[in-house]
Amino acid sequence: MKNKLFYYSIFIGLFFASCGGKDDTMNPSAEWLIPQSEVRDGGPGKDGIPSIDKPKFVSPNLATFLNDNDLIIGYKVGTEIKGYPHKILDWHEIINDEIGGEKIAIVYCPLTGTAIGWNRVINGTETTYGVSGLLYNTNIIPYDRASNSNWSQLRFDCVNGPLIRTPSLNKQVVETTFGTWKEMYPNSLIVSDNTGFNRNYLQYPYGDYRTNNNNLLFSISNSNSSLPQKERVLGVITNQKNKVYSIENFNSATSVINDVFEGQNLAIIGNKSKNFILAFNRKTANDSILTFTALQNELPNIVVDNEGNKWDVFGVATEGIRVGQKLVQPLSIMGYWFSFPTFYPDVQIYKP
Amino acid sequence: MFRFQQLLLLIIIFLFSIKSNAQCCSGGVPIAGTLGTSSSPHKSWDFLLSYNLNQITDLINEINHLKDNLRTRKTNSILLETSYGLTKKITTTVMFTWIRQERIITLNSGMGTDFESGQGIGDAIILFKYRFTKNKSPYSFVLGAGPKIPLGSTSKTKNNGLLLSADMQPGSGSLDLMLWGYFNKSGFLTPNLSSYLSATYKYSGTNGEFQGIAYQFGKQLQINGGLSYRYTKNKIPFDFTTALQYRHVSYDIKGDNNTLPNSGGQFIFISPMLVVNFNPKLSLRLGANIPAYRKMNGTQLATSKQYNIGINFKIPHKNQTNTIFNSPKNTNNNEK
Repeated sequence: MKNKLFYYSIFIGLFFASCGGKDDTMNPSAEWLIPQSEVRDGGPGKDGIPSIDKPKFVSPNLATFLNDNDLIIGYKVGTEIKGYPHKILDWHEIINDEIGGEKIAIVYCPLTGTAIGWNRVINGTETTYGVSGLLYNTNIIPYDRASNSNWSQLRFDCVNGPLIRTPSLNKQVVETTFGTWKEMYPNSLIVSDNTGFNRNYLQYPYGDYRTNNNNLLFSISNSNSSLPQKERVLGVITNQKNKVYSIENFNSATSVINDVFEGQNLAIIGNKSKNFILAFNRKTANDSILTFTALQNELPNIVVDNEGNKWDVFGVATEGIRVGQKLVQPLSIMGYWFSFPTFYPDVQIYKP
Repeated sequence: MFRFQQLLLLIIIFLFSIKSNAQCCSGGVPIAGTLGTSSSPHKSWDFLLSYNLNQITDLINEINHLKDNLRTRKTNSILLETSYGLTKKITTTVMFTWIRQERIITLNSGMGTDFESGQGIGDAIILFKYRFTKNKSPYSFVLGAGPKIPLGSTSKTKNNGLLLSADMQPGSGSLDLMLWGYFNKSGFLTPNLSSYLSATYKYSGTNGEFQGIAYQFGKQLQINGGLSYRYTKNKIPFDFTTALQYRHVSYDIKGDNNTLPNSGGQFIFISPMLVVNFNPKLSLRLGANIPAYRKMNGTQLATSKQYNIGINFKIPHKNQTNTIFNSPKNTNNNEK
């Protein structure tokens, strides 16, 4: 009996020995536009942080998991307006959605505090973005599922895979607090915490990371101590050059900074207590240079120009002869100060 | 009687199947897991070859078990522990490890799974133990200390050439200090019952540069306490052990003293074990760790089940007549 058991055990052992696991994922190409030695495994693995691909929405008054001081990412297409809370994005980093007929991914990196919208239709092919689990300079590397290519959020291009060198198709979003957002768009839709995943959305997953200037969980290639590491700034990127405008340049009243960067006449509009900074090109399609004056207590309208047009946070004229027109926005993104010099070592800092 | 050669061949085949079977998973490494063997008699050898499977599949937020089956991690560990009685009081123990870490994630898109693994020689431990009690005493009290040597690799890469994360590496890259203690009383309440208590403390060193930044795994304290009952059938003693294990792991530290928020925690396991003593020189042990309580820091995966199997073989000194069967041994399991 024991001998039979012994030989059965050998058979079972050899059976398991013959079984092999299979890596079902495609292997992207070996070429990287960024130093491969500086690409870090963040820990959770590919889709270990699951993106939200079918978000559910509620009205702002039903988003009871949010406090007025919580940050939210807003996007608007036509009359369709949606908010994507940091409290959800901290746990999922990417929300694939459709708004106003646009297929968009909200791509957020909790470690650099940067959020941008990306068009999900690339070269005519619709895709969704996922979290690869990889980081470059502490910044998220999303991957697109259609081609299994890896993208760099703060380089704004594809850095590995079949779509290498393809620029991301950026959509400017608004980052502000939930309290301000409700004031701007009380009838908008907010991503619900009923995500289909089991997470404690009331708990921030990274401890004191947001406020601890000494806490960088991964190495960065270029450190710059000109500002506190976690100070929130708006980074404007043009021609691979970068200039940042700190939230500390603004106060409790909305104000306008006129600046010139890379040949662009920019209006940087911000409000520290309402917690937003936005960048717009003052030059219109017919080459007029507009002059803006800040508006108070008229959210979402934030400025009026010298022609009498009022413009909202998305750069759309809501009143005046230019109603419906949209200001050109330079590529810009809110984030922690430290993330900008790592990608743009010659970064300029606006000083009043 | 089950022949030793058959048993050894069986275990070798089983261990071989672990290396080949990519479905094995990974998680915490029981680097100090079997450090529970007591001291060895003077000039006697004690070998313990064991296999440990640690399944880490439960997503826990503090004390709440979150329903989430997207990620599976496992660690397969082969541990070879060798002890030698330097003197009547002093024993040296050396443990070598071979580790295979695995992670399987169900992709969000429904396009299958993502599989990663890292395997190789793991870290080693050297312990010097001092026995305070006499060999023939019903009490056994042994204290030990020594280093955990970073023999294991921390440079394993994925299929695409990128470095695996720290917890997927077979090694830790750090020189640690191990403190160990063991107390046993045979004939506790009845002649066939013995009690034991053991403790292990790992003071973690730092891997000076992992992915360009310093990394330190959490310090660990583990305490085991239990009872072992000996039942003899057909002249073969079977030792049935029930134990409780308490484990505390501090936060991992990265860079400039920054704690990793979702690391470390406290655990209580129920640890049953069976030891089959074929003869005074040879025994087979089968054990498990079943979580009874977990309080994690933040949200992280935690051990759902842990199993181990081992074979213990002694070579007594030629002048020693070893007619006494192995006393019950506990199985401790630590993450690296």
